Amino acid sequence: MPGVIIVGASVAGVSVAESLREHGYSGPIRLFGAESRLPYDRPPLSKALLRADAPDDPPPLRPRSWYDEAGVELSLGRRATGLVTGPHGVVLDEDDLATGDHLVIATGARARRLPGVDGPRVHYLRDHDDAGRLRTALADPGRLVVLGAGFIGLEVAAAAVDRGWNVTVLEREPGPLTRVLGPRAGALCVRPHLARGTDLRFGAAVAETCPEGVRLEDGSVVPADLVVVGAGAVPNAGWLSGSGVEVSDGVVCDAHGRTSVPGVWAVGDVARWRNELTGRHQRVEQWTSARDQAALVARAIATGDSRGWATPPYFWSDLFEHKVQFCGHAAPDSTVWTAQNGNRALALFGRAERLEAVLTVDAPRLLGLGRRRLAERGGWDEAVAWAKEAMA
Amino acid sequence: MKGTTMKITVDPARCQGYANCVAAAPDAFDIDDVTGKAVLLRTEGDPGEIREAARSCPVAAISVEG
Repeated sequence: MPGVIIVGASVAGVSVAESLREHGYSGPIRLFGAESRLPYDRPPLSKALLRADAPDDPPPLRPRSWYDEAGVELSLGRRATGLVTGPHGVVLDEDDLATGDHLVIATGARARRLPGVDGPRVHYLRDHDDAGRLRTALADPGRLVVLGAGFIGLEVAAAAVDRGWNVTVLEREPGPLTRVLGPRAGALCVRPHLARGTDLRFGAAVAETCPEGVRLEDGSVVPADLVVVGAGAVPNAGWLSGSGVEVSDGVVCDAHGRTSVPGVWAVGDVARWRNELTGRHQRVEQWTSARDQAALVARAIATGDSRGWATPPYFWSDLFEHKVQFCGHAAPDSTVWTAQNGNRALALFGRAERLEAVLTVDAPRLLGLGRRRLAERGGWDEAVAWAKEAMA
Repeated sequence: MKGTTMKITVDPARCQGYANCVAAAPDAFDIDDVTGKAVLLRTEGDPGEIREAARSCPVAAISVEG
């Protein structure tokens, strides 16, 4: 049967469907999602949806009527269990097969589980049900231990502090946000936490949960009434086993979203694209990248005009009332330039005379201008001169 | 023809200051440093850039007609 099969109904999958229609694709589009809820946006799960006054239902990405009007056949509560090729199809719940001439893998990622960290007081955060359980658990303030000082961990910590919790963040690395920001710039982002009294402990190696809380590898115990794990995400690619689609830390894609099988594409958290601007070939678990990739794949399918991914990855985070924004790719050995002015902060990352990334705190305008410089492959010296003037 | 018939609006209630619009169309959009919200600088500009600004807004705060 002709048409496009999209497997996964979060922002990446829904965006493919939307973008196909925008590019004039008139064939059938079938979108399969594992959750039974109408597709929704995930960034609020670790932010606004943890507040006491948050609504029970997350805002949908599109109202149900949109799918009908766009001619997108939405099938929810269907889990992909296998992929067949030539003709391409997805096996659903192990017994049903949907086929099309293009297949887009958009099955996302799941929270990384930590061995020895489990039990009724331990929360992982990935979907709306997780967020609902955590919001309920945060109702009576006590002692919260967050494992991981990445963005999810720091956002949950901020939400809990706002709800009156006493919060400790344990991070194995020597600083916060090192995976994305490298060793030096993360300090700019945690100033709001320090101002609010969050106990941030780095170089803390967690061994396991215990009845009192969390036990570290040195034997000490950090007391906890509640534990939240923010230890990164694992791509949902196990169902592709044996399909011929190459998987290695996610579905391996070129800069156009093509997998190792012609006619099979992948987008979003599950996909490992090459970025033509940054030169990196890695998974980027970011909302904006999912949208960008979806638009490129949809264009290629609808028009045959395939273009490479060349926009700088971008994400934002909300910590208390402060806005952290980051664009580009920071390497561990990047040169870092930072400036602060009151609550506002700006960091530039560069290598080999080129600007590689921009980080701002409470300076969205500078982030926008910095993104433009990145997209235009701006030089390092010019960027620093601009930043000095902007932060003066 | 440079956007002579476009009607562009920014909904400040929706805007979260993501600055996607500034990156996409820096001549048309800016972010107010006090409110953190997008502001429309001028209604003329590259129509392609302005449409991209609207499309790239994560919270669909920008609408473009024409």
